[in-house]
Amino acid sequence: MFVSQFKSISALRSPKPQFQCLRKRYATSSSAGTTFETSKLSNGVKVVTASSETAAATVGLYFNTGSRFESGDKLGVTGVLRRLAFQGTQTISAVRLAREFELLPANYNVGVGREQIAYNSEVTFDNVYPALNLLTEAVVTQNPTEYTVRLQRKEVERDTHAVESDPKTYVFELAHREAYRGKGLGNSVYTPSYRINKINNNHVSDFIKSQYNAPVLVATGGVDHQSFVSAAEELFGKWTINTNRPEAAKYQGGEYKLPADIDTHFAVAFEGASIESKDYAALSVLRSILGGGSSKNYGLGGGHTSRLYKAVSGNLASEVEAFNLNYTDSGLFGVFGVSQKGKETQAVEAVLKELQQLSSTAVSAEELSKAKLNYRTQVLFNNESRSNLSDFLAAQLQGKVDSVKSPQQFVEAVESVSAKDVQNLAQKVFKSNPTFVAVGEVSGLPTLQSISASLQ
Amino acid sequence: MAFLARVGSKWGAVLETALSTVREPYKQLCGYRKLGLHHDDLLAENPDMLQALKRLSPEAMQARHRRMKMAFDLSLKGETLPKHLQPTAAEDVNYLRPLIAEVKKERLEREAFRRG
Repeated sequence: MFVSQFKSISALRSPKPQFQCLRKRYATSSSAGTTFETSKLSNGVKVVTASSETAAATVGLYFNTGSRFESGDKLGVTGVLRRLAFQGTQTISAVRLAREFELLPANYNVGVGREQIAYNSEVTFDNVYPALNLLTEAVVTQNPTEYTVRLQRKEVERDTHAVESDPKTYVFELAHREAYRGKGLGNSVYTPSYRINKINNNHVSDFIKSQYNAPVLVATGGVDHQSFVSAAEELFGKWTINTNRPEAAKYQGGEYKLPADIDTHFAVAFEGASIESKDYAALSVLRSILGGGSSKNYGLGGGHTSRLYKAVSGNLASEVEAFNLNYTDSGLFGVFGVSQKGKETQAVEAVLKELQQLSSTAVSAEELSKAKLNYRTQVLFNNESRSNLSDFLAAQLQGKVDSVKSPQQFVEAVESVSAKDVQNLAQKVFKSNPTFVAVGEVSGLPTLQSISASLQ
Repeated sequence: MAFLARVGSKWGAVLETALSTVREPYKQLCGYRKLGLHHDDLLAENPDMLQALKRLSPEAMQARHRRMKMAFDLSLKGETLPKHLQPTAAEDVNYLRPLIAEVKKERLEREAFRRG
């Protein structure tokens, strides 16, 4: 499973293209100077590049695993994995790893999520292959020792504590927990505090061995597709790919109210759309229509003309935003808000009234086109950044899809969404079991039943 | 044994087979097992060894402390453990020396980097 031999850095400047292996190459698309190409190695590993004429490149190794796949004694492993990344492995010590990256020069980072774990490196175009080699070695030869895990516990504790002190992140974690009743997608990305001391190196090693087995390689920037695929073939061509089949996500909905001495942070959520769902486009438009903004953020992009912000004007909430989270077989759609002191119930009721409006009346053509433009701008602007583009492409390849859409292609899907589609979808979504979580002054807040009733 | 590595693999193998015959009887004759100690409880303290101690699991550290306390007590009273309680060859493993080797390797690597 783990590749045991890694060429020395000097030996890997640019590999010879080797075309002996069977490789399928999928649709190429080109937009604004970036060419998007996806290939699939003979063993099923997906390789995607977004090449453009830039001097820098981002190389990423994505594994389709995450906190969703934790259960039993592996609960909380994802947070620990994040802290163990680049801490040295069996074949290369932490010091040497840092040094080699520094000498390239390249920077490296890790990101963990519910369904994907990403290891990325940013490097100049002429050092892509040494960086990929180093990255792979740092990730696949991981076999942490007892003391490595024990030494990182303090850091993991700090991460978890940071979440519990940040009400917005905490509310989102709670929303997932309640929506999926604490299983699968309900697992928190941050290791629960009661689990930190229980996770040892054996749990981590077992998780890596069983879960890190379907890599997706992404390269954006100054890379050549063929050379990158050859390099991928060399490193991962001999792997046996074992795509993880998670337990099907079951959205149930629920409520949780945590009293705390802060402005009430709340979230009302419903079952949304999965990444490959036919409702994805309409739901994205619905989210744009709702919009949201913060009283601290004036000017362009502040969202002050959006429906949600206008609904809570009159000092009901200092911040409100609609969110649309999509996973491989489920999604979470809803509204997050921070109410002003003493106005918690009114803020929640204003939000619910706005949702009810969208179910009962179709939006105007002008508002629809404005929302579509808003969505397009957000996606395209977001993907200007190489690392965001990398995540965007990898997320598309989580399921059975074999080729990626460029950001421009991706946003084309919303063009065909009509006002009636949005209204029908709103009716469907807002009639599903709601999830209601709140942290702050929660004593007067409506119950789940009353929320459900007000949206019927 | 560090010098075996320097001697070379062929003669190192010869020496290893020779030494392996005397290793057990030698450790037995040393007498530390009569006080309930393991070989690695008696290693000299140096910076590498102290760093390696930090890498011991809490259970191994606790066992080490208990063995040392027992040995001090026995030594004070001038006693030794009964035969059935003394550690056997199977129990007397190198629990600390591999960690010391790791620490030393890392230190040498760091120093090599500093030298450039």
